[in-house]
Amino acid sequence: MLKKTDTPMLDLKVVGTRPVRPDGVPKVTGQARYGADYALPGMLWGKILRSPHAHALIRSIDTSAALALPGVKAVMVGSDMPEQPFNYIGPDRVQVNYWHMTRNVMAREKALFDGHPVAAVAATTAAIADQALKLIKVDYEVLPHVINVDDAMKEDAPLLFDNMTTRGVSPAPTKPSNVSRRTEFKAGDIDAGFAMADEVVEMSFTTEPVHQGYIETHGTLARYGADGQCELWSSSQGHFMVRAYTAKLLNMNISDLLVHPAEIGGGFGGKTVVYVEPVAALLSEKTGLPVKVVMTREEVFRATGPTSGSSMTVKMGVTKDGKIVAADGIFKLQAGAFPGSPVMNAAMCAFSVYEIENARAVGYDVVSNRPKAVAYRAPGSPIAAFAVESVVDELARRIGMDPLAMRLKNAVKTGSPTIWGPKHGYDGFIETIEALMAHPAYKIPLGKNQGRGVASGFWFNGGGESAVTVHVSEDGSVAIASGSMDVGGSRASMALMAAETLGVPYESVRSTVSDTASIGYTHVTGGSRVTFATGMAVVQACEKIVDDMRARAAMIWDVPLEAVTWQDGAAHLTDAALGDKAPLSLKDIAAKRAVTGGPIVAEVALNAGGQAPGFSTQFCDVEVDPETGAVKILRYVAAQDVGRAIHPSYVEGQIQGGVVQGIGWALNETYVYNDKGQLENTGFLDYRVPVASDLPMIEALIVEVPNPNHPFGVKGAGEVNIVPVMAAVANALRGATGVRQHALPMSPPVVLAALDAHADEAVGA
Amino acid sequence: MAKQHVTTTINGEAVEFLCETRQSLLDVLRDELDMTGTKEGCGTGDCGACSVTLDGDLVCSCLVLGVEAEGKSIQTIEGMAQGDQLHPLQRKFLEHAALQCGICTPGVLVAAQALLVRNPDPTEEEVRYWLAGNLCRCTGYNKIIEAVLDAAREMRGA
Amino acid sequence: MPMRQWVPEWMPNLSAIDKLLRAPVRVTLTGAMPPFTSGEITFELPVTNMRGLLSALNERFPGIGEVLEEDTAVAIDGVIHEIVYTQVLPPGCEVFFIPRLESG
Repeated sequence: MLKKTDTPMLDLKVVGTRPVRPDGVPKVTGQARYGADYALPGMLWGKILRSPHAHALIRSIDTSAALALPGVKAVMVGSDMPEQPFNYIGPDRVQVNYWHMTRNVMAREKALFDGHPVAAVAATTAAIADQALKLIKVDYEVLPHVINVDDAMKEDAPLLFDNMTTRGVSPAPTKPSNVSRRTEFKAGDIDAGFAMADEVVEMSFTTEPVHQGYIETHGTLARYGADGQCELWSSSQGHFMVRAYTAKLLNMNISDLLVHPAEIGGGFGGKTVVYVEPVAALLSEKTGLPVKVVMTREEVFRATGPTSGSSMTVKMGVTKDGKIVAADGIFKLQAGAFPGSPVMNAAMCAFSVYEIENARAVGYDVVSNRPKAVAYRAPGSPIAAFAVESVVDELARRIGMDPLAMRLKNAVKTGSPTIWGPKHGYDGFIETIEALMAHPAYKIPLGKNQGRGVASGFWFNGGGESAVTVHVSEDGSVAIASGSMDVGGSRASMALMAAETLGVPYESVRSTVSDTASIGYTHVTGGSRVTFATGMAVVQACEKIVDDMRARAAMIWDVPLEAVTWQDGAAHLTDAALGDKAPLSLKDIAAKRAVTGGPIVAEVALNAGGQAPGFSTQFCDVEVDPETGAVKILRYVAAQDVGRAIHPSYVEGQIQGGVVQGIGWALNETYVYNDKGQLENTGFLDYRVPVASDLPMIEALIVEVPNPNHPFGVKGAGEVNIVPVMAAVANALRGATGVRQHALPMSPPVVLAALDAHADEAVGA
Repeated sequence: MAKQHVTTTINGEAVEFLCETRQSLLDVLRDELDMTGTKEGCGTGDCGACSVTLDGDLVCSCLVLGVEAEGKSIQTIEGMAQGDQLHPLQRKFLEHAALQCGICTPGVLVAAQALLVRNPDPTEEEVRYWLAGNLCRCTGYNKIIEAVLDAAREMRGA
Repeated sequence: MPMRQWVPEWMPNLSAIDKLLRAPVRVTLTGAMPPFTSGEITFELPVTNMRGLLSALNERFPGIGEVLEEDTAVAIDGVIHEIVYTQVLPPGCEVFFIPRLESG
């Protein structure tokens, strides 16, 4: 149920402060337990055998020698998991197709990428398990492979699925291809729109897949009992998701699977799926012993989902006074080995910050022989934004308009149209532009080989199901438990919202995450949903506690309920005529809980809606070394509308973290495949993420335009900050060098080659 | 192959363990001694999550063999706090929100402590370059740097 | 965009005042939903909550109700919600069924 907040709560006592998080001490002392940190008596080590071929038929697998090795207790192959129906029902139901999902966890007929799991063993030591893998004989028939999206769309490209025809095309094609789906969103009349334009820019771009890059690899411990009940300790972004997918893939009753949420070492969307959990559970079932499976970093790069690479063309038209009159974009995103790139998000988000009456976005979801793409921080939107914001930058240059002014002129607000149908329901974008315009750093003059780039971005943010339990302990302290995995410090913001609602000190609130047997279903921690949806449930549960407290105080004082108010963490008797009573605190009432009805507990479970999207506008100053093509980030300012910052330090942290991931995506991160389709840069040395010495301080500007559908005005904060970054850096490079970059990453050799090619036209800042 | 018997000192305490010669110090800490505070992020010495000090030198424990610990002194994250007193670095990390998921935090803290022992008054640039071997994917490093500089200030009594 | 208007069988004989007070909700199914629809379609329906809306659409396209429940989210006057039966649809509001979105 939504309760509208007419005005944001102004007189806040704890929300908006920066206390220490309740789970902090274990994390700074090495005591916190992540997925790989659990052990059980008699535990076995599970290891996975992976295809060395990018594309191959699996004719047979002989595991007998492995099983015979002393110390090996079980082996498994894909066909040990139950078959799943091939299901494409309803609109765009690509993300969850269990026929694909079971094959992503372990191959059946074909190996579809270098690193594709084909078998697994469980043994008494990790070393024996590794040895056993070498004894498994797989008979492959190697097939031609294809890696990037443009190649995969060619007429003569090797096909991953012989029967895949493109959905979303009418009439339906008969010839199979690697294009699993076409999607289109349209508004107005783009031909008429372009006819009104004084300047038109059309450019094409390519981006490479980038990995979420979490420092913790995937790891799980499974204990499958002889009674068919299984416990899993897993670091994931959603233990209810782990339970649902694992149960489905192994044909188990959901309630026979209990998943404990281990601490998680980063996810960013990449841990919203399962890889090792079904394997560990099945090996544990076969052996009757606990089995631990932890991926190496090499396995993470070879076999877990990055976000898509892309090939895009964007055309936009503007009048000479800066009004964008038409936009047309084609977005081809590669899904990896199984369908399901975030191309629909890309098409929907691409133009969503601009009020454009005539626009079209067409998307293609394309498979190729590399790991299946998985969500990465606002999936699809940063990819489209790189293209769109680069084109907008060129248009601004053509008409001589400041890029922030151009965005201001075309900015969406409540009531603005979108190409995907509904009108925008919220303000917030304009405020991010204004925040940058007012920032003194935007006026800092630039020197030789320096440039400034501006970009904006949009992301939907999520709502969905969350469950929360609150109880007041015998001493009046408060415990709140939710089903939301804590990736970035959400236990602190839950505690802040609870403390504010109850009127008690933050230090008296403990905030935990419950396992799947102990609390109601809760959707994943991702999609910028936890502070919004789980936070809403926390507030509603605390409001129930407040009502309960008032009722108990009324009982204790023997007065009507209406005479009792709750203020500053205590019940007050408002009517002096009824007596002179000292206020009753949580502690006082808790001492009387038995006689007033029993334990003081409230639970709220909801399916939250009314979430507001995220908007971010950012600028970046760079300096380019014309000798080497190396790019140095001089300063970076990112403004983001978060509705209300419950804990400003963690909100700043999200903005800074997203920006730095975007910088890596812009400048260095990519996958290097050899001509056999095997991944060559399987470690952090050559998959180059930003390090501390690459960066300046990232300035995060928190903009607050409250969301009336949340009790504290929260809008999701986690994702939109990555959306504008690659375009901001590319636009800055354009300013510094006079040369437009069309391909990511803009690594030194790429920048240098572009500079050399345009040597005659390159100009300084 | 028979395991090797190793005698060493960890966080000031005498410790003995058995390990195979192929096991890294990281494997030994985590799997033989149940000291899981030191993390494995890559196994190839690129991410710094496994940072410990060996006779005072900052090392990646995934690049050190367990048997190399013989006769040496190792400091891990578990030894950073003194009893129930957190080290100033640990306190400042919490105050500054210098951790989000926390997986890189043990390695960063060990590395930062090693820096401040050598250089109690580092510049921002010196801190960034010293910590360049510790990858963090969540924070963008901002608050980590601020926390280290603030801890250094406090430890200098400035 | 073609607009259809019909009153489902189980909602006969609305009084004139009812019709006045209950300005119809304007509903768009975005994108193709085989085998039910082949393109974007807009309807006006005199319904007051999500349950009524799903029933009305299901009457026109049998089976579509479940698909909408499983695979879509809904934007009501621009504000995105999950599909929840008790969701109120204010008179005259604009409703778009949009694809369920993936996030990270």
